Amino acid sequence: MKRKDCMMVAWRDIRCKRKFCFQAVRGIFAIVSLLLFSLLIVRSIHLYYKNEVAEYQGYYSVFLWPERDSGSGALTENSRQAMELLAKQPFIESTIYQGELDLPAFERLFNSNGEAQEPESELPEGVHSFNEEFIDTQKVSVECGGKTYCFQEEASSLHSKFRPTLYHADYDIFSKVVTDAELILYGYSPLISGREPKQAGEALLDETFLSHFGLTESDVLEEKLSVMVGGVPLFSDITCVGILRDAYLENVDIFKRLSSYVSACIWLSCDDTLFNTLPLRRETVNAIPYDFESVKEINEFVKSNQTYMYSFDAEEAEIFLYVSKVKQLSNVVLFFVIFPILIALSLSLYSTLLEHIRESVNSYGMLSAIGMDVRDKVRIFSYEFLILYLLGFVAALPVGALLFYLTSNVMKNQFASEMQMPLSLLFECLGLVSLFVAALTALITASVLRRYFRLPILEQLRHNG
Amino acid sequence: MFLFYWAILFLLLTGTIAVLEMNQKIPDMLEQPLHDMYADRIIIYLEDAGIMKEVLGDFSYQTEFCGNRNGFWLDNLSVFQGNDEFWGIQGLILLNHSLPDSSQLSEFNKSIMDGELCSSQKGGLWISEVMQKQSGFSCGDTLAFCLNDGTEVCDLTILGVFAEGDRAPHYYISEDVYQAYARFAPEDSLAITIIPEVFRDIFQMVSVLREQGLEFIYSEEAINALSMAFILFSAIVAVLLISLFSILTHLLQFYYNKRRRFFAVNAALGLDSRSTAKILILTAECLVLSALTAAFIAALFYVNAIRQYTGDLFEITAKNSFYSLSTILITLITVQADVALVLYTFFRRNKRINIIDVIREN
Repeated sequence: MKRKDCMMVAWRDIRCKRKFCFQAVRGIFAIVSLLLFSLLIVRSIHLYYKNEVAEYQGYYSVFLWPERDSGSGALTENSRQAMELLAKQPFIESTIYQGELDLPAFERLFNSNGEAQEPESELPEGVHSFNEEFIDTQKVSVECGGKTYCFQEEASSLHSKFRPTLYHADYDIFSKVVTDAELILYGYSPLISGREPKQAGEALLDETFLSHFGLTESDVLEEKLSVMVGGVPLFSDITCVGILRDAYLENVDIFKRLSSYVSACIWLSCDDTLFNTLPLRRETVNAIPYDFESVKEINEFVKSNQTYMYSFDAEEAEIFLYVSKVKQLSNVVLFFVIFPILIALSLSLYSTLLEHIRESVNSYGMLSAIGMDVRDKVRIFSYEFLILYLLGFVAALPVGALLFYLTSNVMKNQFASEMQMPLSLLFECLGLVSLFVAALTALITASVLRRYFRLPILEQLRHNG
Repeated sequence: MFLFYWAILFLLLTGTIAVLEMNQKIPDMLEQPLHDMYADRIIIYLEDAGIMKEVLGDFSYQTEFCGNRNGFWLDNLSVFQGNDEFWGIQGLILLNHSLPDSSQLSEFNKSIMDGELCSSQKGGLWISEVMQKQSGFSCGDTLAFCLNDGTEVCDLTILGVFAEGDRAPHYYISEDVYQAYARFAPEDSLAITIIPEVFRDIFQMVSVLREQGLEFIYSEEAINALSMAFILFSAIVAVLLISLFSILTHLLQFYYNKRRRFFAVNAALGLDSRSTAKILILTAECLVLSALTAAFIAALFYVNAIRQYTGDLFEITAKNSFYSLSTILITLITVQADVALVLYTFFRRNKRINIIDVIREN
């Protein structure tokens, strides 16, 4: 029997049993529309987590404060051990050490004549002599190609309403910039030009520095730089090897209280000896975890090591961890709820279709009596089911989408969030529903084949549903 | 066949009851960590605190802090300028004119140890107990209130001393003092931190503030994540209730249609429609109530397991409890309404059908 003929027989059969087929279509309609609606909701929420939460993950890091010896400037033994231990933890992807120059300490290092002084070692802990005059007048500058560029002027012009204080030093000197990936993780876009620093004495400048002083990349790339404080070189013969895109973002969230103003920075690659010569304050270790779930382990690690102090980023970490946990809980609930629903819906659809077949065994028996083989009967049954499914599906499609749209609107008014439904998501859900129904059809066909179609013709004819 | 339907119904009912119960209990559990992280606050930037009443009048909330935009803590106002010991002191504003009945004011007045309470009539300065000990100031002393550049704003009299709590500032100034300051700093504004009394109001408060075009900040990530979880729970409840209703209707109709011939024969033998109705109701109730009882037992374990999991995940104590009344009522009403609807449809249709036709049906 040809396929076309099989389809015609199936179609006629459906028309003859309109009442029963209407019931089957109605069942399929209900199941498909509900399944579609559920899938749309579930997938759109997953999409939300995927897009929104994953975005934060890329910028996430934990800031820790190590301790240094006030005299020598070297890491204390406890801090060094804890830092080494932290770097070895499986949940840490990388660590970046960052230090801000301690300006009052600079004042003690360099007098107003520009001559270096021995640091005073007897200052009480936590007390800094603070000389506003020094901050405003001392030239912390960069010499490049025989010209001098003053950092302080640039920083003051950007923050005219802020008085430089102990809390806002305008210099960031990084001991180690390891890879491009770490820069991205830290929130910076990759290098605009040049390359990463590979050895001590190599530095990166950011584009803010260039644009402020009207420099081009060729003016600074591979040029020798000197960082001067009050005319005395702090570093000399540093090579600028690359330009960074400054990608600080304006931060509006009260729980992300990172200082986030744009200022010119030098990213300097140096070894530990060079790093220890810097009078630093607020030195931080930026520990970048693999994922949100690692935050808990990091926090536990930090708590168990008294050498580290929390910075305010611990609060931020808790928020991210919370978001991650809500996501985890949603996944678990969805899995455990969707699972029994799917079984119940499958059983319901199975019973409807099986009943439909049972009603049709008699007529299939007649077809067998006139010479139709099992293969053709299966084919007719499949076409019949396909037509019923398509009818139910076409009717269910707008209803499922409409239900989702209405829910989305209600939720938008009730809560402050909006659910998105891109077209790709709709197709994805349709695909999943089709796959589910196809699997169910295969199951029913196999069951029917075994139970009814292989019966002797007389048995089939005597069957009355 | 009956067992087959029963299994379907049992699965659906278990899912529905579990989700209904989770929808009641789990969001409350999720709110607690947010509160502990101080992430349930909204900071609103306003020129005039009186607008708060107009905009958020429908909600109940507590005013936790009131600072100013450029610094949140008023550390750029050096009340104690010239005294190095008080570098970086932090102060806040008491809203005694715009919101005289606010919880901020009543909480503050409870902490007064010495001097006058803050009222809407009198403005001035209140200092903390620690600050009083360090400075040696006492109630009644008058200080010059200056900006950082030395510009004098006004004279301030210390009206009282308050006990420092966990998050208390070094000093409080009253609203009229702030208004005097604002004339010198027109670009500044109030930054009022509020906590909704009913946590779920935060979603609607955010919507209202957004609609009104006011400037405000809140912990967007955490609140959005939680609202998505709420949406998820609500949507699943809606899906399950619709599923339950439609599938139960389908199953009962299917069952009754199958037995139509049997009841027609019985009717022909003299069974009246009242007795038929009794049989049908009993059959339906047997199916539904047995499935419902089993589902309530199964869902209890299910819900407690999820609650325990949530407790472990968020490190909060999860108490096992019995079902809430609303869960029981919603499930019972849905199921009984469905049975009544199917029976009504069945009898209305059967009235129009001839018994002989039904018996002759193949």
